[in-house]
Amino acid sequence: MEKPVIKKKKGISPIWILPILALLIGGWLLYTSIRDAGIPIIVHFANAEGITAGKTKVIYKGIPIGVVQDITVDPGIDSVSLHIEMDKITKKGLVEDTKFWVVKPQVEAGRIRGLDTLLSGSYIAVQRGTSKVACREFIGLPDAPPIPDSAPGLHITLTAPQLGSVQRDTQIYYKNISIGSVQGYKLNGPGNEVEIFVYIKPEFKHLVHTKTRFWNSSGIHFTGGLSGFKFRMESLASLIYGGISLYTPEYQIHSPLAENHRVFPLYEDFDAAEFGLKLTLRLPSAKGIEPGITKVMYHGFKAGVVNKVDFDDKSQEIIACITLDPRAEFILREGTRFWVVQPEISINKIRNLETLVKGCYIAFQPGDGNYKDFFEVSQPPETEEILPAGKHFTLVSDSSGSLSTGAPILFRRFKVGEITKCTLTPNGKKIKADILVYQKYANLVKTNSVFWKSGGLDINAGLNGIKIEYGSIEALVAGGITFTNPPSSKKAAEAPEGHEFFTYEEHQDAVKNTPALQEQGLTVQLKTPRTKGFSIDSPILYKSIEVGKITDFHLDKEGKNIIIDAFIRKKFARLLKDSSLFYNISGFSVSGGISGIKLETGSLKSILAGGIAFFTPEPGKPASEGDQYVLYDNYQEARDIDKKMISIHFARPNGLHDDIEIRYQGIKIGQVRKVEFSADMEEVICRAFIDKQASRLFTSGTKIWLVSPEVSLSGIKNLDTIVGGSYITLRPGPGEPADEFVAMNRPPQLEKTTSGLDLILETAQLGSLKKGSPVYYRQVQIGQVTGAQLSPDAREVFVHINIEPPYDRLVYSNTRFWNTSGIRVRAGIFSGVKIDTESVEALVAGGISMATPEKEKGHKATAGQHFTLHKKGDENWKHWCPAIALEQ
Amino acid sequence: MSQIDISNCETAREADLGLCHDCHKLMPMEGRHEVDCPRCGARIHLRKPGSISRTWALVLTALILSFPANFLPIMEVNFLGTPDASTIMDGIIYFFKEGSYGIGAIILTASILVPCFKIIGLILILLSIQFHWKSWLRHKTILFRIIEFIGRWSMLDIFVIALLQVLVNFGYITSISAAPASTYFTGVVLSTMFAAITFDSRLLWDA
Repeated sequence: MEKPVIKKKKGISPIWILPILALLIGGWLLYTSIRDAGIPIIVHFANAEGITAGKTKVIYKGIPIGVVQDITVDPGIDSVSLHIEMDKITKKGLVEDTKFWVVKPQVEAGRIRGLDTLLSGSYIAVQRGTSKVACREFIGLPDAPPIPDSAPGLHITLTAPQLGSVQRDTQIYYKNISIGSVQGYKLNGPGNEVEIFVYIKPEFKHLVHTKTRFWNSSGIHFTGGLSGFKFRMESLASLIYGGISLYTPEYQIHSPLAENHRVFPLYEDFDAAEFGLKLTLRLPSAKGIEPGITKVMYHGFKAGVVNKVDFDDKSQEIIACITLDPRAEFILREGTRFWVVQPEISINKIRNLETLVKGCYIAFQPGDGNYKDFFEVSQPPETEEILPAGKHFTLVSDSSGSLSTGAPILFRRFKVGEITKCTLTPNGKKIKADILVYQKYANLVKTNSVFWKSGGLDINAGLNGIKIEYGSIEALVAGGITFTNPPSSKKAAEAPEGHEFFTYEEHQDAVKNTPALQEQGLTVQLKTPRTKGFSIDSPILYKSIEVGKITDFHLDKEGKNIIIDAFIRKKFARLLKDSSLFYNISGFSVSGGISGIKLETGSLKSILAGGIAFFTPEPGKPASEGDQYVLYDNYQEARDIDKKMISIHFARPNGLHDDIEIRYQGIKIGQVRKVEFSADMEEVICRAFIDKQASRLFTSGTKIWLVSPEVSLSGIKNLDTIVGGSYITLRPGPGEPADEFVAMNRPPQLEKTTSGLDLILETAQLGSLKKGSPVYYRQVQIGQVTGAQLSPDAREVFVHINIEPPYDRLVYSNTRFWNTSGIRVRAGIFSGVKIDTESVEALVAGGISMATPEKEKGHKATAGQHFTLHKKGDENWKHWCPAIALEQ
Repeated sequence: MSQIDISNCETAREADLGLCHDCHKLMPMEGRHEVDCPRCGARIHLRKPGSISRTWALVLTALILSFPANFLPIMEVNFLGTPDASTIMDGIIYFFKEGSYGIGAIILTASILVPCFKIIGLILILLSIQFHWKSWLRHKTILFRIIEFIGRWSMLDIFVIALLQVLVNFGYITSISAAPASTYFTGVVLSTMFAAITFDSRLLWDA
């Protein structure tokens, strides 16, 4: 056997590339990790709150540059050391004055800082130092350091006599936008001023000029007095946290931009910052002068403000210190006159009304001369009021109310003139007022214009509502005269200059005495034995629309009835005919019963104030002025006057009540007004009103009965009456018209039919058939039993049926009828069970089937024809199927 | 074909029989080192060629790669813009601290114990062959079977990271991404799995 030759493979398997590759990667990783190894530093903090070893990062400009590796307590146990591994790239930044501080979430009034740390945890922030000396051990700061001077932006110093609410981080606001913050403060050398170091962000650097003014805008400024108050607030943050605002006066806007380390004064407040020029003014009294509020105005422009009001002991005078807008420097001249403007309100004039709201102010008249900065208040210059051009008239009045010089003349509440003078007539009985109507409106005054006083408020309150009438605000305060032109006066001539008019005390007087102003319409008289809550002005309604009102009441000559004057507006006068009926709708009437509750009201006004309505039941001639009508108590009464009244005697009045309806063919034709006992108390008499056109239904042969719900095995009858209540119905009969009836106890057995074919079936027993039992043809209902009665000889029962058209054509003289009432069950051992019924209804209520033979149908059935009602149907009958055209 | 008398032979090799790795056909080698399987056409070796050196190479690769795999961060959680990278061990410690001992144990087993077990086990087996250690051969075989079986489970970590990277991706709020160690860890797992494949357990018995 040949020995196998074992060959040794030479060389190394290529798989060894893998470990070599792995080794290379590993080696490179090792190299890079050594190369990029962080720089270990130690930062001492007072506490390590919120710092986790291995997690807390050092973040510089939002980028993590180091991680806290370990936290140890310093030997003195008064601080902790954070061992931080910083990124290699930070090597150059880790110098002596590099600063570290912990950023934690801070929620303080006015600002929320480090919000990101809420979720991501605290981190250590770092600020790069400028030193060149490398350092590996640092002392951490408790809070973020101030922005170093080297940072871009503007570093300025503010000096203030006291710090106020300024703190570190107090924001600098420009138009309420934060543009920088206070970095720190210290007392100056002598200790008499505070130096506040402010940093302005670079993007807002250009807002600070050399002439820019800074003031403390901390909190709310609220100074007030009777003459007004001053309220100003910077942003809400500054309210709580304090703030410094800055502003460059417009005329200083071109001053050069501020350079670093410039010193600015910090003014106490806005006013102190805004105005520079000082001015003192001597005043006889400080009445109405409020420091900080009272302004110096020139033709409505603010030129300065009163800073301080002092009392000068020597001269016993008031001295007001005013700071003046530097632009108003030109007024500081010898010839300038100052005076105080105060509101003046008197009966005949209102002046300086604006000072009521704004407070007093100091006005001035610039003059010439040398520079001067102290003045004495002088009298305000008298201004003679010049009356505008217009026409003058004279008004005569009984009293002077509302008449005062300057009071306006109103036309449609628009001021068209004013009173120039009021005088008593020589005899002292009347007041004479001279008025001026401005030229523009002079043509409005006609010879027949009506004037009345519209001074103050005219409040007219009552159940009709409250009506407040007033002229203009001016008229409210100073009174006034209103005039109008009666509608017909278009052609009236313009009043000549100096024309004299009488002035009514109020509008109503004017209307009453001027027929032309009164409303056009028709006045009729209503007669009623008593009024029911009416008053003058109560509305008159037609179909719930107010068409007029009650104008007056008076008793008739005998003193029995009240005559009401009802005024119908012209527009609606044609609705009133001589046949119209008036009724009272005051308040509301409730009528109720099983058939429901009926609430009748007129308008809301009529509920409260009473009212009268009318309707016209039939056409008539138009009413004329002064016609007399009867006023009915209510609508029903008015309605019923033309109705026929009948009496119905009920022996069994179950469910009878007032207002029960009388219906014919389901339509209401009348209503019971009253239910009362007969004299012998045996029966009940209903007094009912029947509509006129239905009265011919009531003849001596008319049968009347009460329809009430009936629930029986065979069904529910008169279902509508369960909900709608019972009603009275009738079947008209022949005879003379009558108005006294005796109601039947139950509906007549034989229902009167209006259409279809009436047939009579003869049977020995009625069985379960009853009124309403169906009649089937091939199990389709074609009619119903309308009634049953004994045959005249009492040997049979006559069942009356009615076949509805067009099925009446199915009935021929040879048609068979059989009773299908109930159920027929035939059972046999071999035949099984056979159940036979027409319908479920027939099962319960009984029923009749019919069939007509195909041949020998005989002649068509005629109304009233008699057929035999078989007890049961022949099987053959069911197979008959004659073709009969149901439609022609 | 000559009838082979196998009654005196202790091993298939002695009986000159080779087994097809793919269809498991047993066939006489007739002295050759490699033949093609007449049934399925696969190459039949008496022993996998270069098994020892290949396995050594792969095990060493795994050993080297397991250092960066364990010391570099495997996963980076970015929470509100702050990246937080963690190594496998960080994750396990985190789960144990949080009280999720079950998950911690699973990750510990799948990511640290199993790869270590595989590497150490394979080195042990390889050394045993290299130095013809004849004891505990049966146990070593069982050890190898276990290594072969559990190899695939070591990929669990990688699957978890891959899944998390897809599932937890809420942009700025939080997102998870794979860190460098995941590559090295995959390398470790693949190397050990290939090592188990290239290793021919019959070599143990050749000693």
